[in-house]
Amino acid sequence: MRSTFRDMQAEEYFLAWAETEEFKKKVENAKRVIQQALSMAEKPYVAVSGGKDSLTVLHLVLREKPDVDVWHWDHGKWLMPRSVEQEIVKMLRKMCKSEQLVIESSKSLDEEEARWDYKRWYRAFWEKLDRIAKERKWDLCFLGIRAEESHRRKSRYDFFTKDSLGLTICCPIFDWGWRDVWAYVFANKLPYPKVYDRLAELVGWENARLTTFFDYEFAWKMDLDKFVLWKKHYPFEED
Amino acid sequence: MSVAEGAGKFEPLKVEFRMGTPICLSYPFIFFDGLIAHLLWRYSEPEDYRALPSKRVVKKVGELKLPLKRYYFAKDKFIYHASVSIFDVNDAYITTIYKRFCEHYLDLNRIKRKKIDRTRGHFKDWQIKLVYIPAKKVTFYANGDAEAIKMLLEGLPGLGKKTSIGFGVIKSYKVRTVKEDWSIVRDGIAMRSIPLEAVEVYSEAVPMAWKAPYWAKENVAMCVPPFAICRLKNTS
Repeated sequence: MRSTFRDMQAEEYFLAWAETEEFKKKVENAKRVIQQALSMAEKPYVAVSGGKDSLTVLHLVLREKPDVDVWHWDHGKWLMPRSVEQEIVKMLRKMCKSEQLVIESSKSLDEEEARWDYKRWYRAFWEKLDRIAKERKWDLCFLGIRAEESHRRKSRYDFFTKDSLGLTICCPIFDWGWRDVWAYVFANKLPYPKVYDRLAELVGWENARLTTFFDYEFAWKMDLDKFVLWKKHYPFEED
Repeated sequence: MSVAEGAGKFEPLKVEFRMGTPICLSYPFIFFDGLIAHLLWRYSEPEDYRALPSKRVVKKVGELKLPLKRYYFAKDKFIYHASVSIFDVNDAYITTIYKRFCEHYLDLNRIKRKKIDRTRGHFKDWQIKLVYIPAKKVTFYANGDAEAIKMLLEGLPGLGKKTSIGFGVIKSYKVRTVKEDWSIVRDGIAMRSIPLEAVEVYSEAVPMAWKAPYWAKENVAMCVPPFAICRLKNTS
């Protein structure tokens, strides 16, 4: 019962935040950035991990360009539990048409070594993305990166940057805070992976982030992953 | 008094702990057979217990005979009739603890060096995030020798991790016999991790340890996690 109460509180809070002038200005600014990016590009795409930030960017871009391509990378069964992955794919299929959606993975991620050999997925990811970007002639990428997430992201990215391959990267929500993202999600009734609710219970909404699970690259959160994925409600009453 | 398997009569048990402080865990469950195995080793080998390797299973430990009933699902494979912990709350929170170099007891350490490196090595400082559960009551179900279990539980310092800094303090506990055996399955719900080999119907499967020591990699297999739906095969 208590978790439901906490979720209700959170939803009320974020919906109230969505009414603030500060939030509305940020949404307007994000729209302007997207329009500017679309005027620069002929074939843009949105990179979507399935997390709250990328889903927000996808929703914002779809409003301006409903036929934009959507790229999603499946990390494989060892790093992304199938239940979470299926939920993300289901959400994406609901938000855009199948011809827009590009979902890729690599066979090398089916082995358990993928958990600690993270160079393996980096290699597979960039090889596939590079090939598909050339095939589809993508010239601009929308990303859900925010400055608040880390100092490294703040220093490496901006609203517009160039990646190592010369592709333009556009981060429309670069200046958004975690409250803004959740406010947008709740105000627009966006679907989001259920795992966020369980994470928010443990670490709070401000720290709830969707990354790969049981990944040695994020060893600090491996204990958390066990609680998020395995802990279940005991269905019986004890006297 | 012997606490080895078969020394007493096995009967369905309910073990309840009243907690004085929250329980700190790095895993969502405490396994009752893991707890008993730990206590039995401490009881039977009080000196060797302090000298055990931390990252490798000593054969003798793996072969401990616990005062618990066994459920055989293959010729040589069995699980004990012992449930995981059932907390009276469903909440879990995160806390951070800091392990810092303390100069207070420096003279006791007999350190000859004049400079201490706190960024690496033996005296490294740590910031550790831990999950804690503010449970006031923890329940386990088991099927075993009540007297032997009571005797072993007397030596239990606390439940969970970091008992030395005040987590998991036990106020009181009681072991009582119950009518039904809910130590493995209760009304179609798994009460512990059960290997897929032992079940015929299950709602989900995850890689988990199924026997003590639960930290050992070699004991991990695809299992039905606790509190998931399952039905055991008719082998016993």
